[in-house]
Amino acid sequence: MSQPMIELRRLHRNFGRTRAVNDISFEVPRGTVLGYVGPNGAGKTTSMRILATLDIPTFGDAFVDGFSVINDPDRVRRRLGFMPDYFGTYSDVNCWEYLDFFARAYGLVGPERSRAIRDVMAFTRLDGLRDKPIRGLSKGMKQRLCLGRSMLHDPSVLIMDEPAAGLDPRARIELREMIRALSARGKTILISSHILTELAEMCDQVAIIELGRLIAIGTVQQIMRQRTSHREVKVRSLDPLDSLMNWLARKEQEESVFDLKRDGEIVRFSHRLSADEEAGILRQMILDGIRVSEFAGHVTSLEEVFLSVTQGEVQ
Amino acid sequence: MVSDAGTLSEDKAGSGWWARGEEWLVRASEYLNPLLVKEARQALKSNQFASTFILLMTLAWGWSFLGVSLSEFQLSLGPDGRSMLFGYFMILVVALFVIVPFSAFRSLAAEREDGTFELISITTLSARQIVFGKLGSSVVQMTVYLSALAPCIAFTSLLQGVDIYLICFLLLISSIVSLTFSSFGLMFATITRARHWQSALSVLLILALGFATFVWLVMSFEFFIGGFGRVVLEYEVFWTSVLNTLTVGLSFVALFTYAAAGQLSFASDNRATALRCVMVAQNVIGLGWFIYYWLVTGDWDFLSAAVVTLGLYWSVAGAFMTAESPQLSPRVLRQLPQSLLGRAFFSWFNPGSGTGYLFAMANIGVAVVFILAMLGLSTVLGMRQFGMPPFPAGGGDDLLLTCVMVWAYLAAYLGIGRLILALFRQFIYVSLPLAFVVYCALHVVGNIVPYMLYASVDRYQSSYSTILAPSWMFTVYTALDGKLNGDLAIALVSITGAAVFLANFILAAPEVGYEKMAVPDRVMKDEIDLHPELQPKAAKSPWD
Repeated sequence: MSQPMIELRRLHRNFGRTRAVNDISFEVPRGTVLGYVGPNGAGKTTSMRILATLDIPTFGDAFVDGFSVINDPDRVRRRLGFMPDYFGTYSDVNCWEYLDFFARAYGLVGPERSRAIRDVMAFTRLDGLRDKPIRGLSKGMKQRLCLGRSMLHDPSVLIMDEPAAGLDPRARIELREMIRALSARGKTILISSHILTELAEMCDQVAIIELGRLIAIGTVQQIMRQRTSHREVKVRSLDPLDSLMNWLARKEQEESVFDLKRDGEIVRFSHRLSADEEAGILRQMILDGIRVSEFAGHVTSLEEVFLSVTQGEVQ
Repeated sequence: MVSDAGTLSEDKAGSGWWARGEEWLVRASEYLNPLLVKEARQALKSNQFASTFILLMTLAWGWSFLGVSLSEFQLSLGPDGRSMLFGYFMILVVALFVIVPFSAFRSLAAEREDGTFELISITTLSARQIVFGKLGSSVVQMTVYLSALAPCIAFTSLLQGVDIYLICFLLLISSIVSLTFSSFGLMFATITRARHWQSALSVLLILALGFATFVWLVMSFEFFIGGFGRVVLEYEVFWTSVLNTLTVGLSFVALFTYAAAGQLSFASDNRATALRCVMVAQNVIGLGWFIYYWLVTGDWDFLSAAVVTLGLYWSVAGAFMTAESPQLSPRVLRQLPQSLLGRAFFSWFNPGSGTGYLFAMANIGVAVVFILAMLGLSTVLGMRQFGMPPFPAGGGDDLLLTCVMVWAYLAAYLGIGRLILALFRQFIYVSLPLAFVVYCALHVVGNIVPYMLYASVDRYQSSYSTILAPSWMFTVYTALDGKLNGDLAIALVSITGAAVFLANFILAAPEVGYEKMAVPDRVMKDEIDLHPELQPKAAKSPWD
């Protein structure tokens, strides 16, 4: 098995008596976009700051590409780009000077630095704003500039803390596209956001934390399966719905399905069957002459998962 | 016009010496600290910098016109050259002693307040590079202010009473002091991150810099107007004073800079070793200068002053060192010396409370032994024929007593403070400010309470009393004065110092027991990937 790009191993971080991060462990494989979700004060920013080598855990360790954030922060920094939940920009410098400074700080020299700056300006669509003073940039532009800054040294891991906060819809869409493009380039991304619908579109997996503890991790469907023992299916038929209802009622008597109900032109039911057994029901339905036009499991949204797994507690 | 990184932009590529010069400058900037480049760019666009520069120029030109007018246009005939120079010097000193150090302080404090420091700290720049970049920026600022006043100062060299030596002396000393203040400002900025404390520190620093400027100007007034400069310039002592200021000033620049870098570095980094190396250098420099002045002047008070000054120095440095955590991170353990000799001699440079205590005691011990050796060479072995000053009758006992008292008090106060901090560490995190408060309380209790008891018990007696034994201030002062005759007090202090030292020596043993930790294979592989020229080498130094 290849080495995970991000690994949290029994991570703890206490501030006085507050346990901001409480025994969190998980791994993120190379090339994965992991959404980091949790209520305010859940410990997302704290654990991200530890990964970014800005803080040190009280107990446990975190690794980026196999390097400990405690013992090898310099090696972690070469592999990691961090976009915090603030801009961190300077007055009296323009976009190019800002990126040039950070490129120098990452040790890029000469033509390599010029190329890196050009590339990130093109990627973040800031090439037209080369000489524009930073103080004149909009929030969306500043966010793109900060993304560019975090990419200058071509890190293999990107950590983004609330990158979409406060952005207008267009800027959010642009940011989402950039994150998708980065994912396509094989970057491993850990991203936190409260805009769950957008996060669901970008992420391969999500990790949900609350009160400093990891509640669940996996794809949305995996988490939902872990959390609920049944699956809801909706069926549409070209025939009158009565025949479908009768067919399913028989199955309900056999206790294969339950919670059968009619919802307009759709019939919904739930079951605790395996995927194979679910496919068997569809096959049987068709063999029994029911003209099925739609047979689909209910797609659980990230919001539903979030609400079902979190309690809304704060510390 | 140059666009970036050594390349001329295609559309604006110029020709001729100007373009070539600019391209050369851009190429040269590759070797400069990135922060220096960034701050220079910011300064060029900063209204604050421009307005300060213009104000400085205006004041200088204003003084030129005023000075010439006041001398009724007879400058070249009268002794007004020094007055003119002093006027320019006042303007320069305010810029160098207040504006430059305060800008350095604000520059670093603002980075921390605005969160940009965090972004810099996760780049490949080390904490030391960040501090040196800021200090470099101060040097540039200093150079700009000096250049602004250079024509005016050069003008005074044509006048009566001013020569080029005086000007060089002024500029050199002012620059060194300004650099020292700037490095202190940087260190001051790292004390706290909280915005309200930063505001309080700003006020404190401004007041301190203002006071230092005032003192410097008063001293300089005497120097210029009183004609002392002309007298001093003729003696060898003057030039040794310049060298003295240079070595001491630069060593403090190094101390403050490394202290600031230590404060900014990552929690698992080794923050101590570099600082301790600077401290050893300062011990040697300090001791060396006192011995030099003793040899030149023949005044034995220089040796007494040496032991007291170094005692005070190590009590402050030791207080901070004993506040260090005794636990070493795996990152530090990887860098420990490995050989037996290396561990024996260099373990004291490792971070840690116990090693810090023993390091301070070893350094003051070396100084004391060296001074006593001088005493021995001069009196017992009769080295007078080799240029050693003759010893005053009976003075040897006082110096010996002062040395013993200073060492014993340092051992006791530092040791007790360290034990209190070790006790606190069982329950809470011991920070530097907490250690500072503990030591302050210890010194106040140790000095004020005995004096109050002494005053209440025997208020009319002026001689030394055993009640004053815990007070290092009164006891050492009395010893220096040659009036310390309380045998019981001497014995008490000596025994307490030795006992506390022994207790700390035993308790510090675990800190010396740390062994070098192997570097993980993953790290070794990455190191070789980064630097293919580096191959595993045979042991050549204590760290291998």
